[in-house]
Amino acid sequence: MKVLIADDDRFSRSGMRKMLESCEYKVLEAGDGAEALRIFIAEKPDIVVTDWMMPKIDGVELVRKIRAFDETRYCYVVMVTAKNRKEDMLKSMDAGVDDFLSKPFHREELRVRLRAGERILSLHQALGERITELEEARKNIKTLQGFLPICAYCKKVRSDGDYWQKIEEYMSEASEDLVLSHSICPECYEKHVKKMEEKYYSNARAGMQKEQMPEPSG
Amino acid sequence: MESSHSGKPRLNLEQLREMGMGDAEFIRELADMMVDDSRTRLENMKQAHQQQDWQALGKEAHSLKGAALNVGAEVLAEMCAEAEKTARYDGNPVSLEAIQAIAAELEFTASELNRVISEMQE
Repeated sequence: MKVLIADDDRFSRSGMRKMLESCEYKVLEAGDGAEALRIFIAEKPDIVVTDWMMPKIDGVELVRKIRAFDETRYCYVVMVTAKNRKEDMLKSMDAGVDDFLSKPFHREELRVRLRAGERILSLHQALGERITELEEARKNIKTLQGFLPICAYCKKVRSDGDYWQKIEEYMSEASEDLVLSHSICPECYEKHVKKMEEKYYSNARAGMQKEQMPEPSG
Repeated sequence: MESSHSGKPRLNLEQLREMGMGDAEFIRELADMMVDDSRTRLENMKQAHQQQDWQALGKEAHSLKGAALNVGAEVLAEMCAEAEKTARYDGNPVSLEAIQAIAAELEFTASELNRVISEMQE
């Protein structure tokens, strides 16, 4: 999992890099907001840990740009800051920050917060995959809606063009991917086919017996 | 090691040990970084004071506060927080004496860091 650290303080970046690498994250670093945005676009990190006050683009503006950049792929953002005023926190949450970590940060706290971020990202990913599956499924379904007159005797239906056609033809035309294959249900088999079959085999057997009977001599 | 400033320890090395993950060489590297960068920020604060640019001074004080907290220099951090509040949020001038006091505390922090880390490396 890729983590981008955006902080103009070398000390914080170095310390955080060592901590994150010990947790087996792949770490990217940026020394200001503009560089962070450039790396974000090029590398698409899963998590961004950003300072608030940075040259060129500050942390809040960076988060706004991250959120505006790609709405389909979620990036978890943690703001690490020495700011602790409520209005500052509200402002950054409004910009799209997911979590906060106050400076100086504690290794274990950073680790568990990033793990929480990973869980959120997994949920986002699973949700995204489910949405894609549903969209695919939706493409394959063409619904039939509305009032459809059907003949009480021959079961033909009247199409929009005032044309009576067999229901299987109508449905095949109404759905691009639907193919109706003729078959016989067990009930109809019992009612209609079985008797015909029995009659056929009975006739066949009678014909064979007749053929096998010897010609009368004489 | 306590200061008269709110009775806080002047240097709490727990945070630095935490960040350095017990690696004395790395702790030295981090401490040197902190001291170098903080001296630069202090120069920027002095410049902002000359120009009476209180917003700029407040921003530098904020960054210096973060650096101080990283090494557990709690008194230095508190002095910077006061300067930040005065300049940035209240929009008032910060006195030269306050900046000089910050400079003195930074130098104390630098020499203490050097001493303690040298002991760690022995």
